[in-house]
Amino acid sequence: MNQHPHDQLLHGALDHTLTPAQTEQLGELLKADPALRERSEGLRRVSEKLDGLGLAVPPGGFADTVMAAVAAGAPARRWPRRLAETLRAGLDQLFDRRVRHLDHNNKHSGDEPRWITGLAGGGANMAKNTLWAVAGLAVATILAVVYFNGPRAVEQGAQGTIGAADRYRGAQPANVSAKEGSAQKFLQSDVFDRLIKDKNVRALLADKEMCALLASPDVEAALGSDKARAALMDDSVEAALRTMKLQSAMADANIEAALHASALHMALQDASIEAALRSPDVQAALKDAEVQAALANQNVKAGLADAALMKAALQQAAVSGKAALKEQAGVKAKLANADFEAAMAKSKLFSALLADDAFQAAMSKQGKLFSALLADDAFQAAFKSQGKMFAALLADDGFQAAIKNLKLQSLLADDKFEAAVKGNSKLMSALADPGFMAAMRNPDIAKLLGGDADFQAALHAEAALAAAISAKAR
Amino acid sequence: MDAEDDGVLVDRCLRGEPAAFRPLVERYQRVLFSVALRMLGDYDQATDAAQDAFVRAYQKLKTYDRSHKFFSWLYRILVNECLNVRRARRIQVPLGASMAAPEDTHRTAEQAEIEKAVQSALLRLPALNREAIVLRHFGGLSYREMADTLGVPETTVKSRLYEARQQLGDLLECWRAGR
Repeated sequence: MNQHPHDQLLHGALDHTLTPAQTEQLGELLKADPALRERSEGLRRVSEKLDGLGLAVPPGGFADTVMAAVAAGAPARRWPRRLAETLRAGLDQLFDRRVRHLDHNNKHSGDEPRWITGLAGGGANMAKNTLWAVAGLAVATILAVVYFNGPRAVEQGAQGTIGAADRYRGAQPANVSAKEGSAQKFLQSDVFDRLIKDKNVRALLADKEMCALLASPDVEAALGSDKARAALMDDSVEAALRTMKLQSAMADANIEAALHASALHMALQDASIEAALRSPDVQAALKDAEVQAALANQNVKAGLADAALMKAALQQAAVSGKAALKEQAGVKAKLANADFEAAMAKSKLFSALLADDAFQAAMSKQGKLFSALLADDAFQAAFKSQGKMFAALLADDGFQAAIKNLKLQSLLADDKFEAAVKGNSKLMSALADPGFMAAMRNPDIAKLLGGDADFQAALHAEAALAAAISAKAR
Repeated sequence: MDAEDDGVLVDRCLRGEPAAFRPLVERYQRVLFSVALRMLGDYDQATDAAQDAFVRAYQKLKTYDRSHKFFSWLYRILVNECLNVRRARRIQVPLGASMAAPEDTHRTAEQAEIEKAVQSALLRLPALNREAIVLRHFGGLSYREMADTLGVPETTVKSRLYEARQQLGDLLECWRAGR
């Protein structure tokens, strides 16, 4: 294309690179030449239209995804469609079926390909493993979200997306097993469609060890849960997938080891656990700013992760804890409930806090904090209405392990703590601890976690206490 | 934020502090994503290309030549990523729903139509000309920085940019006439 004799000036004006003398020269030329004026106007309009596009907004979690890949040392990934084709080929083998799909190059719809399947029965174990590895990935994702980020409620506005997934929930052919039908529904869902295009998911799928893990019998057993499969339809999964925490956690060898634990898989099949962890009340408690602030404290973190420290604290707890309680004359009258006192006396968890040096220091100088806690109506109500049950629970090792895990979840929700968590083998091993898993399967604990308002109130009270400890330790 | 700040963050990364890379990502994510989006015309692919560019930059941080601005180096990586994507697909993805971000719903219908036309015209430009115009208008690079990023003389940059604007004007004129 031939350039116009005055292009240098015309484009220089658009790019603001002209000297004053050149600007004056261009002005003179434009005055004298209507054709040049028209050309200048045309270029200006083009430039304005381009600038009018502005900067686009990258998807949410963009930086998180990059940083997760950086942290994991993952290579940059591409070829999403190649991966999709590989998976589709695997499914072809699995169901011995022909998979027809909409034209990838449908140039006007902008739609991504959606699968339309027809089953012919049969199957191959290898391909089946591939299928379950994919579905297992999603389950593992949910596990990671629930266990490491805390339970998530379906947000307002996300509910409409469930309908999109629902439209695939048609009757299944009679010759398809229930498990295959569920998997098929998931694979045809919008969630999976977006999930499979997610950079993090693709990176995880490329990891041989992860795939082997996800194809394991334990994971397959976990997938037997209707609840687990239903959860796969939840669009909140997609949002969770894009978080850095998930990527970092899944890339951590210790997390992988934790996920290997059969006990974890078994626990996840317990419907009451899932319901409990999805409780908005529990979620609210775990997201309490005071809890997060307290648990972000290095001393608290170290204490929680250090079994020896906890044990030492427990040994001192009974005496010092009870004594501390009795010194609070102002609230003692309010705590006349015998069950409550018994609970406090037996509570290893509470006593452990009382035996904590930082807490004791806080007590000695700021007794008001403790008094305020004990005077809290919700806190008292929790104990007075559920005294015996609470006493038993507080004295239960499994319950304490569960409480520790709740704290760990809150810790992991804290960005600053994230780096500290990664590579902390003690913390990770706690997740795989059989005692914790057994506790999590305890129906009473699950009931408390899921629906007991008093327990939620008590959790908030504990948050205030933890915040006080943290503030003092800082 | 000036180049010196970028250099400090790069130094911290190189000293084993990967978290120092986050401010760099947050600083340039929008402009890099915009460049990728205008060059590729596909939201998902642009996301991939921009994210890959950042990750690749981090992985190659040791090779970063301090005589160049960090973002020029970053843009060059992005441009290569976009080229790789284009080679992989071997086709130009036309404007479609995949172009728009979900949060773009506040635009008026006319604005949206114009934007679609401009983006469509951009994708019809020869690749080299498109790179020039995208780097200038969405990357905000100077002629010198564009030359640095693309590895060509400034005169070549200007030539491509002028030609691209002219071609774009012609395409938009055709679009306007056909409305």
